[in-house]
Amino acid sequence: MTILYLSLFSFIGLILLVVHSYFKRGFRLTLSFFLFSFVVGMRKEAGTFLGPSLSNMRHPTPFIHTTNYPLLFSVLNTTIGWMLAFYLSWCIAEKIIERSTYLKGKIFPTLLFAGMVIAALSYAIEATAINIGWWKWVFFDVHLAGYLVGGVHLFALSAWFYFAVHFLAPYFLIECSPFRQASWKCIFFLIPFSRTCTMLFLGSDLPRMVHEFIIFFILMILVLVNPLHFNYPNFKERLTDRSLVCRLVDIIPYIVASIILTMLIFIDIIKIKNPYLLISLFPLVVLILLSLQKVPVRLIAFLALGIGLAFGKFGIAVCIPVLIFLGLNAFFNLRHATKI
Amino acid sequence: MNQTVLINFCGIGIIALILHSYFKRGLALTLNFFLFAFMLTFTKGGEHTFQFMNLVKAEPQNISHAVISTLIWVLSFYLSWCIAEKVIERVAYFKNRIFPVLLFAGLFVAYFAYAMEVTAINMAGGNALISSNNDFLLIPVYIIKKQFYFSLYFLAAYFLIACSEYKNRNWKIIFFILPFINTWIPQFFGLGMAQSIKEMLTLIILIVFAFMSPLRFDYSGIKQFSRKTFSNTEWVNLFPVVIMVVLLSILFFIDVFKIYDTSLLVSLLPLGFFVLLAIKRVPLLWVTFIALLCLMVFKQLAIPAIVPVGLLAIFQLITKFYFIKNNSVS
Repeated sequence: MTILYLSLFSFIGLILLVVHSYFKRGFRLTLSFFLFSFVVGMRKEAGTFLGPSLSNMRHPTPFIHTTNYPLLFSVLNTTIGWMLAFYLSWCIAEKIIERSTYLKGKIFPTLLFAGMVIAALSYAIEATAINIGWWKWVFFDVHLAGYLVGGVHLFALSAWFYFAVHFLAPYFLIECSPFRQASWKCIFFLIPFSRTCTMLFLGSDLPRMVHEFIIFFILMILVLVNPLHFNYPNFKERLTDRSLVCRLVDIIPYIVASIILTMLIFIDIIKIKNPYLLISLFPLVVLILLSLQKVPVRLIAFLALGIGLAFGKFGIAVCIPVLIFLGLNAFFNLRHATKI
Repeated sequence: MNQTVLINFCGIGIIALILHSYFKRGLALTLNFFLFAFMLTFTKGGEHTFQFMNLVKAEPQNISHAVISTLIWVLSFYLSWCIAEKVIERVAYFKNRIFPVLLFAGLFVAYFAYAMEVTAINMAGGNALISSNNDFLLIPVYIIKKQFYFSLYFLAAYFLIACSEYKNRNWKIIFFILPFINTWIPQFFGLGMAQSIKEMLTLIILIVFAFMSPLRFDYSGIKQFSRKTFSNTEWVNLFPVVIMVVLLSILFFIDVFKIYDTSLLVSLLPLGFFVLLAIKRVPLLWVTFIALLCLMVFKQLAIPAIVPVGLLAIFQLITKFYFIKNNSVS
C-alpha cells in the first residue's frame, strides 16, 4: 500500500468536494477557495520539500518521504491533501456550529472547529502514515507524546491546526464576512504573512511558538466575544429541489470523510495489523458525529466518556472537542441567561 | 555614505508616493498596492532558502537586509507605474492601455535595478567579484532580468485584478497565479531551460499584448479622494518625478564623489531617458536626438538607454499610421 493510494483517494475526494462547493457555495467561492488553498499548499510544500536542495541549511526538512518520488509529485500530492482537508474541515465545522443556537453562522467558532477537524484528521493520517512508512519525521517532539498513539507527536497536530487557521481566517474574513465589501479587506492577508515573517526573521522555534500562542489566545477571545457572522456573496442556486442529486450533493463531505476513514481503518487493521491505531480515528469520528444533527450531543458525550474510560490517557484527545463544544454552549447559555 | 542614506531616502520617497497614490488613486488602490507589494517583497529574501518552513531551529533571516530591499522594491514598483503611465500618455492611441504601461513599467524597474546595482556593487568594492559578461551593461544581464520579470508578474496581477475591467468579475483572483508561476517554474523545473522558456514566452506575450490588446485601466467604482478635504492637490503630481530626480542626484553624487568612477554614470542613462520621456513638455524628437547622441558617445553601452525611446517611437509611428488609416477610411 503505497502513498499513491492516498493520492488517488485524495484526488477523488477533492473532485467531489469541488462539486459540493460549486453547488452549495457558488462559482466565486469555489474558485477562490480552491485556488487560494492550492497556492498556499504549494507554497508551503515547496518550502518543505525543496528546503535542503536549494538552501545551505544545516537541518533537514521536518518530514521526508521514504520513497524517492519526483519532487513535483510530492508537492502536488501534499497540496491536494491540504485542499481536501481545508474544505472538509470547513463543511464539518459548519455543521457542528449549526447545532448551537448561539454559535450558528458565526465565523470564529467555525474557525476553531475547522482547526480541530484538521488536527483530528492529521492525528488519524499521521498515525497511519508513520506506521506504514508513507513518510517519517526527522525529529520527535516529546511533549505530551504519551497521550497519542502510533508514534504521533503533538507538533504535527499543532502544525496542521495552525496552518489551517492561518489559511481559513483570512479566507473567511475576505470572502465570506461582511468585510468582503470593504475596500481595505486585503489587510487580512497580513494574518498568514505575520506567521511567515515570524518564522523567517525571528526563527522557527520559540518565536513560532509564541506567535501560535498569541494567535490561539486571540482566536479563543474572538470565539467568545465576537459576533461576526458569515455573509456570503449571492449566487445562482443550481439545486433547488429536494431530488436525489441534491441530497447526494449534501452528503458529499460525509462520503469523502467515510472514504478516508474506511481507507485508514483498512490500512490500520489489514496492512499494519495494529488495531490500536484505530484510537487515532476516534477524535475525527466524534467530530463527524457532532456534525450530524440527528445524533444527540448527550450520546456523543457519553461515547467520548466511554472511550476516555476505556483507553485512559489515549482517550483524552477524543474528549477534547466534545468538552470544548459543551463548554462553549454552556458559556453562551449562561451569558444569555445572565442578560435576561 | 552608508546604507542609512538610502534607507532614509527610500522611506521618505515611499511616504511621498503613498500620498501621491492616495490623492490620485484613492484609498482602496493605495492600500492594495502597497500592502501586496510589501508582502511580496518582504518575504522575497527568504524565497530561495525556505527556512521559514523548517522547524528545527532554522537560522532567522537578516531583517535589516529585508527592510532595505523591501523599501527599494516598493519604491521602484510604484515609481514604475507612475512613470510608465506618464510615458504612455504621450501616445494617444495607447494611452491608458494596461499592457503598454506594463511593458514600460517592467523596463523601468529593470533600469532602476541597473542603476542601483551598479552603484551598490561598486560602493561595496565588489567590482572585482562581479563583472559584466556582455558589452551592453556594466553588470551581468541576469541581475536586471530577474528584477524585470519579478516586477512584471506582480504588476500584471495587480493591474488585472484591481485596475482593469476584470475587477468586477468573480474569477479575477485567477490572476493571483501569475506571481506564483514566476516562483514555481524555477522551483520545480530548474533555473535552466524551463526558466528561459518561461521568460521568452512571457516577453513574447507581453509584447504582443502591448501592441494588440485594447485592455484599458478602469478605475470606475473606485472611491476617489474627496477634494473637499484639500482644495489643491496638483503639487502631488510632481512627487514621482521629484523622487526620480533626487534619486538620480544621489546616485550621481556617489558615483562621482565617493566611488570616483565617472564611467558608472552610464548606468544612470536609462533612468534619465525615462524621466525625460515622462515629462510631456520635452518633445520626443529631442529625446530621440539626445538618445542618438548618447549612442554615438557611449556606443553599445547606450543601447539599453535608448530601448524605451525606440519603443515609444514605434508606438508613435503605429499611432500615426492608425490615424492616417482611419482618416483615409472615413
